Order: sequence, then C-alpha cells, then structure tokens
Amino acid sequence: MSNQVEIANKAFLLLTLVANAVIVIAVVISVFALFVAPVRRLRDSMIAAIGPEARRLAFAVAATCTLGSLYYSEFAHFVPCRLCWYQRICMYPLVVILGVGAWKRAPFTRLTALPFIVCGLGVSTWHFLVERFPTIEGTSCGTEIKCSVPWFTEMGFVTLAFMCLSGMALIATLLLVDRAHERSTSEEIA
Amino acid sequence: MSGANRARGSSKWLWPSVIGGIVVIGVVAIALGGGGKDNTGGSNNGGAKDKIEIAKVVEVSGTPLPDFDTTLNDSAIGKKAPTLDGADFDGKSVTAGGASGKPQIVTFIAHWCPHCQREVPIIIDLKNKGVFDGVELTGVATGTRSDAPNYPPSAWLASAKWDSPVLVDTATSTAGAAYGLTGFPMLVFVNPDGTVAGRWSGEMEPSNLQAVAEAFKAGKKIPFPSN
Repeated sequence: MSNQVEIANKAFLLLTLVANAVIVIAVVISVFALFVAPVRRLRDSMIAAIGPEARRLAFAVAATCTLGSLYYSEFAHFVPCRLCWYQRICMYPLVVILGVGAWKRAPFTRLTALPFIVCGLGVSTWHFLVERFPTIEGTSCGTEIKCSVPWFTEMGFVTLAFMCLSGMALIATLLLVDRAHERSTSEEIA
Repeated sequence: MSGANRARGSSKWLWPSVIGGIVVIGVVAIALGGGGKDNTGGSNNGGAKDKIEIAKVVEVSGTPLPDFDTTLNDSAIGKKAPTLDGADFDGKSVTAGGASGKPQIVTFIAHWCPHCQREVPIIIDLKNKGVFDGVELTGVATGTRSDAPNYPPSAWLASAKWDSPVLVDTATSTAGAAYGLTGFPMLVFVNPDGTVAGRWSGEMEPSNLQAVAEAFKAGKKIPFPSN
C-alpha cells in the first residue's frame, strides 16, 4: 500500500473517529436532556450554535464521503464491491440534495434526504456485519469476489463500510439538529 | 439580541473550528501514515517483489475431475486425481495430485476470499499440532486478481506462515478447472494411489477438519460434516 494511500487511510480514520465521537456525544446529551435541566440547557445552546449551520455541515460530510470514495476507486484503485456501489448510490445524491438545501434553504430537504440516509445506513450496517462475520453469507466463495473482504482495516474494525456508516449516521445527526433548530426558531417567532 | 442573531453569533466559531480540526487531522494523518507500513487487507506488496503471483503454465496430466457440486455423493470419489505440475511463487517446481504413494490434501485458496483467509490459519494451526503428519499438504493459489483485496497471495501466505508447498495457478485457473473447482476454499483428499477420497468446499471447523484428516490418514471413510 503506497504512502499516499496510508496517509488517506489515517485521515479518514481520524475523521471517522471524530464523527463517531460527535454522534455519541449528541446521543448522550439528547438522552440526559430528557431528565436533567442543566443538560437540557446545554443541548439547547448547542442546537442554537450548530443548528444554523447543520445543513452546511451535513453537506460537508456528504461531500467528504463522496470525495473519499472517489479517491479510493479512482486513485487508490480499490475496485468497489456490489455493496459499496449501493452505498455510493445512497451517498452521492446527498451532496446535491444537502447542497441545494443548505444554500437555497430548499423545502423538503430533510424529507428528500431521508430515504437515501435510511437505505445508506441499512446497506452500510449490513456490509460492516458481513465484513465482521463473513459466514453470514455462507461458508465458501464462488468465483465472484465477495463484499466481505475489506480493502483495509484500521484499528481492527474501521473499514470503508464502517466509514460510510459513520458518515451516514453523522449526516442523520446533523439533520436532526437542523430540525430541532428549525422548531426552536419557529417557537421563538411564535 | 434576537434569537436568530444570538444563534448566528454563537455559531461564528463553528466553521473556523471545523477547518482547524481538519487541518489538525491532516497533519496527524501525515505523521501517522508517513511510515507507509503495510496494513491488513488491501494491496500488500511488502516483500513480494519478483514473486510469480499468476503462473503462465500449469501442466495437467490425466482426466479433469467433474465440477464440484456436493461433498456427499461426489462423483469424483474413486476417480484418478490429475497430476498438476507447476511452480511456486519463487519459480521452484511443485507437483500436486496423482499417485504419490502418500495421502495428499490439495487445498485451493484465493487471496481475496474471506473464508480462505479464515481457513488458512486453521490448517496451519492443525499442521503445527501434527494433525497432517504423514500427509502431503499442498496449497494451490488460484483465482488471483491484482485488483482484488489482500493481493498478492505470496505476501498473504507468508504473513500467515504457510510453510507447505504452494502451486501457483494460471489466470484461467488451469489447476482449479482440472479439479472441478467451483468455490473457495476447496480441499481435495487424494489417496496414495492417486484416487480421490473426497472433496470439500468452504470453511471447516478445526475439530471437524482434524477428524476428517485423521480418518483420511487411516484410510477410513471420511466423516465430512453436513453443510
């Protein structure tokens, strides 16, 4: 594996870890905010701070994932497997949907993005599981290359499928923040 | 200050933080990835230069076996296993199959196959425990593709510490076709007289493989697990 690809792997690994940290923090704050008043205030202030930019951030995540997948296929020459293609089908349109939604404040952005996110989360979760437990798809290979062999594995579990799963989950989290911000803004106006 | 203005003010730090974070990640990635150390999976060319990963020719003597379909009632049982003459990754000649006077297990493996990746350590572990003593164990590196993960097979098998002979198959899977290969991994059990005792395709649990190998060595009916 070339140095350039190694550097890209590390960069995307770190981005994936950051994405997962953000998701975990968001989930923990959301859950504790239901019961603890100071955490509720923290949640509201975070929504106020991140909410106005949540769509742009979601667009940035989708664009980063798309550029990453193009880098691996076009420059690192990692041939995408069948499940990788399904994940691409889900991720690539999000760049356009979220881009237009962010800069033009287009209506129904979240609703349009939802099916892509749901399908992307489903496929990438399945892909990751197949990588971790190849026997889910049987105990032998045919002559076609299976999706259960990752091109690389960082830290023992971070593969391209896990990166896609993390990207999708972060986009979903940011769009939930966007929704919460929109609601709180309309409540303030009311 | 209105709610919207307050939000706009407090989110001023957001994009500089994001861009700063990305710059930090880039610097850390360059520091971490600068060594260019090989990783698991993916292309793995470390130490594999000048190795023959795909053979130009594998000589086949004898009638090809029928395509593998099922272990039980395998129509290849009792038929003469073709003799394969080829070379290993270093070009050293390797022969597999045929009547060698010893029981043989010919193992067809593909570098990109996850089940082969799981089975190879099991075989090596059992070999180290002496389960295959008295058996000629030969690997056949087949289905090789430079555009597939875990390439090249020579580096994979070296890192797995596979120390049995390996016959390198051709791009058109000459050896695999001669043994009726339809899936990976495939284990072909060849009696000392060169007849096929049985074929198995797929992963096999260590305990099952041990029982199979011991029965095969003893010349008994092979107790293949049901799959």
